[in-house]
Amino acid sequence: MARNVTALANTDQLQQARQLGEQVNREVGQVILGKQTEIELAFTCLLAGGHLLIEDVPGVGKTLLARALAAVLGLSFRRIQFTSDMLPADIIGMSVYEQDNARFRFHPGPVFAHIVLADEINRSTPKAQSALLEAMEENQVTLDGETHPLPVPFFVIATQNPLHQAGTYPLPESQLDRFLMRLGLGYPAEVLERKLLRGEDRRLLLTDLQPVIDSAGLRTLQAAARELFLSDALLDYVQALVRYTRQSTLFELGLSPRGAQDLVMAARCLALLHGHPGVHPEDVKAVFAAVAGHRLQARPGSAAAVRDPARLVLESVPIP
Amino acid sequence: MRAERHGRQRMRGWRAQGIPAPEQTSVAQLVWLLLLITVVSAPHLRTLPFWISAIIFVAAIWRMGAAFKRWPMPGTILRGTLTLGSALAVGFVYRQISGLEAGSALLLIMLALKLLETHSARDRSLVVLIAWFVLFAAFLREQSLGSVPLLAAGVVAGTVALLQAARNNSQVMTPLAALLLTARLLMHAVPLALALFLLFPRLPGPLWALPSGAQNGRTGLSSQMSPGDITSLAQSSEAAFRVRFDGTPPDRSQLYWRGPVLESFDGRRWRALPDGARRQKSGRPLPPNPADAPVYSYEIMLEPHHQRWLLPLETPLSWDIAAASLSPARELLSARPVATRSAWRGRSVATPRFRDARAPEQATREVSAARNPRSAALAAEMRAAAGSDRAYLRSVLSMFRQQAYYYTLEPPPLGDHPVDDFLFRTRSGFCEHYASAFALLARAAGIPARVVTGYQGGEPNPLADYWIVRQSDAHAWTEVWVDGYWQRYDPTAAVAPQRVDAGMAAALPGSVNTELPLLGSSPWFGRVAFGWDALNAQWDRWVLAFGPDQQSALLGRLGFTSPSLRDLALVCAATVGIILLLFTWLTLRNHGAKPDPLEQSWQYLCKRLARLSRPRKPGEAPTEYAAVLIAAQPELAAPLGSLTALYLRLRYEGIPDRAEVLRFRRLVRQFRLPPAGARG
Repeated sequence: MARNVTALANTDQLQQARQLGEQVNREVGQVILGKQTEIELAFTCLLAGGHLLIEDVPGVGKTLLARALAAVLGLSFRRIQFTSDMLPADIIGMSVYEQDNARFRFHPGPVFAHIVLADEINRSTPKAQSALLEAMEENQVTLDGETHPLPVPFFVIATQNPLHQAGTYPLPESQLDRFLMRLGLGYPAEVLERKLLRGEDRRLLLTDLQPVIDSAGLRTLQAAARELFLSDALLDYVQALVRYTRQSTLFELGLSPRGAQDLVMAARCLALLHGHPGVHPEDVKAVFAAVAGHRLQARPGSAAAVRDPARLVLESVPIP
Repeated sequence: MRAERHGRQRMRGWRAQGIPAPEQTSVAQLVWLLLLITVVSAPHLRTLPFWISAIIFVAAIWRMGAAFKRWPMPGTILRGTLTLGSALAVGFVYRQISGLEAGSALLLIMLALKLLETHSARDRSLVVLIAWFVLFAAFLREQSLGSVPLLAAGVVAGTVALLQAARNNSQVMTPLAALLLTARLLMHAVPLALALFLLFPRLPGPLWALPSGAQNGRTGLSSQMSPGDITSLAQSSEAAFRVRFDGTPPDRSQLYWRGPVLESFDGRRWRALPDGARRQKSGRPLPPNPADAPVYSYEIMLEPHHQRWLLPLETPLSWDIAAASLSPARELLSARPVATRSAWRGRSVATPRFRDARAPEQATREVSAARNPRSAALAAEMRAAAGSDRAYLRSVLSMFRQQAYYYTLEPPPLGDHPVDDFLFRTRSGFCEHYASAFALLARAAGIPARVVTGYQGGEPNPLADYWIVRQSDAHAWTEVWVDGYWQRYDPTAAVAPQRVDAGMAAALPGSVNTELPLLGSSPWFGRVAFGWDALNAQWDRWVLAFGPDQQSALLGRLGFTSPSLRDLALVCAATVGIILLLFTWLTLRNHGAKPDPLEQSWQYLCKRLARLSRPRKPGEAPTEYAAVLIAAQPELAAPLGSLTALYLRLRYEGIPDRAEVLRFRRLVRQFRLPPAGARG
């Protein structure tokens, strides 16, 4: 098929990647009904080595999604329930003095896991939040001058309630930028909700989930994603999108260079999961809302403050 | 009707949420429109009646109120009434609704009223286009250097407003971005404008017939005079023309600029002889006389005065306007009235007399028997006492000089025998009175005489190498035929020598004329005024006076001697074409986007597919567009699916192979749309 094309990723790998993507979708889809797009994006985010923020009202399956992903990927999973009286030590761990050998010993906190679910992150104080965010940024924890690396891959799924709920400390923009994607789950469709009501508890299904890939396989996939072909036409498109967010009067603040990098990386991973040898504009469009949505700040009173700003951008920027 | 109401409700719904509906005009767009209207109406407001400014102002306030405070916009009935009413008002005030004045008034009112129904992009663009029209009317009205900044501001504001108006209100550019883009666009326009200015075929005379309003009340010189006419001229400091001498200019007292020659006198009013009433044929330039008198060559930049006189330095020898001719009375006349600023070169001798052996016109001897009897008696008496014609004329001059005659710009009115009244009763007047009286006294003594009007003197611009001759330098003097020579006598010089030596201001130190600019009263102000006039002169000379002659001179320097209109059109079209090609090339090169064959084929495919249901939206990805089409026409699934896949593969999945691109192109060509019946 790609005979006449200088493809960088080989065909078998692409085939595998696509099958794997479908498998993850299918498995996780058994637990979370009717959220194929979100599942795929979450997996893409993980593959791209970024962290995921899920923002929605309680009870739509945020936690379930995180657990299901961990299960199918065969990775260790820890959950941190954020509360308002939480301290950084509750997240990263602490040094405890041991009388036996008269030394401090580090007791790792719950953050030391492959997949960490930071539940309701906006309910804790900024101090505790930043402890986690630092760990996300550095991929390591430093305590008393000692550095403790976090496991690889390290993937944080943070959930937060919509900001206007009482007793919350919303994440500042600079910290939102640390998350590769932000997703909302939304309510299930009527038909699916009926199925949900009729069926057994979804949590029980979690135990049935079989790992479809190990961390070595994940690394291979990530390497393949980095080798996908990026055409000039596609980079033109990405730059046009970024330029638009910076120049338009719709936004106070456009996409940062990091945001642009994240956009390309996410699009690469999605393209890989679709089995494309190169990144298509469709891939960029598919991840754009999730990658850019939380980084764009709509100017008050502009159309973007009301309508979906990411869609406004996608509709306005022509595909070259 | 229902649909419309529904639409309006939706509009209100949008507004209630504080969101501009997509079609609505945003505040930024409105501000630009208002700015544009302010700039383009400014040049007109001075001449238009007050109520038009008031209408514009009220409309602007109303529209702002609608935007900021949600005031209701006027309804259809009110708008209709306003439109009809103001059109009628314009018709009533101007007695017409076309023409420069009335047309500008009407355009401005309609511009203001259009603002009150401006919602959509189309409305906005219409407002901008009307504003461009108003700006052009301002250009017709005034083309001086002083009007350039405002016109330029109008061009900038118009371009920015057009850029903003055409956009969806969510895509309005920031002012800085819009100004920068405008600057770039205008920079692109400059070479084109320059090429068109220099090369667009110039027709003799103004390109468009100026509406009549522009000529009213601008007459500087007239083919008739009865003392009193020139008073109004003397009070205007407007420039009549500017003159640049090659080499040393003559003495100021020799600067007589010859205009209309008045030969017929009925005792009260002097008139030029109509051509039909002359016995003589056209004059021709005579050799300098005396032969050793210095010859001055000069260039005159004439302000349009809508008359034919070219106002040469007395006495002209040659001139560079082919169509100009010398009348029997030695007036230099252009073929048609001077309606634009024009420049011409001439050579003259500045002698007060020239030989003309032909017998003067009978009219120059006639004296009306019914009028001015005392003057005639005085003339007879003095002639008898003098002995010779020359001695007699000298004695008349010395009478003016020695008796109590006064020079004033505000002479008392004269009765039925004006010359008698002047000579014996009022004894005060200005050049016309003296010239008129002197000529009558000469005629009464049997000497042919005529009155010559024109300008005397001028003011050198200390900052530049030219003289300004103003309307206040208008003058009248006398020519008398003695011994086969026409001899100039300036009786005003006998009464008020300063008038001729130093100008009007020096002649009237007591009666300070407030309308004359106080040049010289403050050195700083004088310098500024002269500097400004020098700039204006350059502008007039190089820009406004650029006519067919200058154009063919320019082309001559480029190697086209005496180009025909067709040559000109060809050169112009070729230059413009080359500039456009250059721009296209630069643009394409800068964007690096030579439309490659793959992209071309894809665009072509999209264009064909557009006919099936709808064109591809700009942000629509190939598979998304294909999905829409396939949903409408399932039988397209196979061919369109494979074409899209191939396109994506070639474009995004690697460096495309040339053969593959050609295959794609072939497939696109072979692709057949479903038959017409299946569409829909």
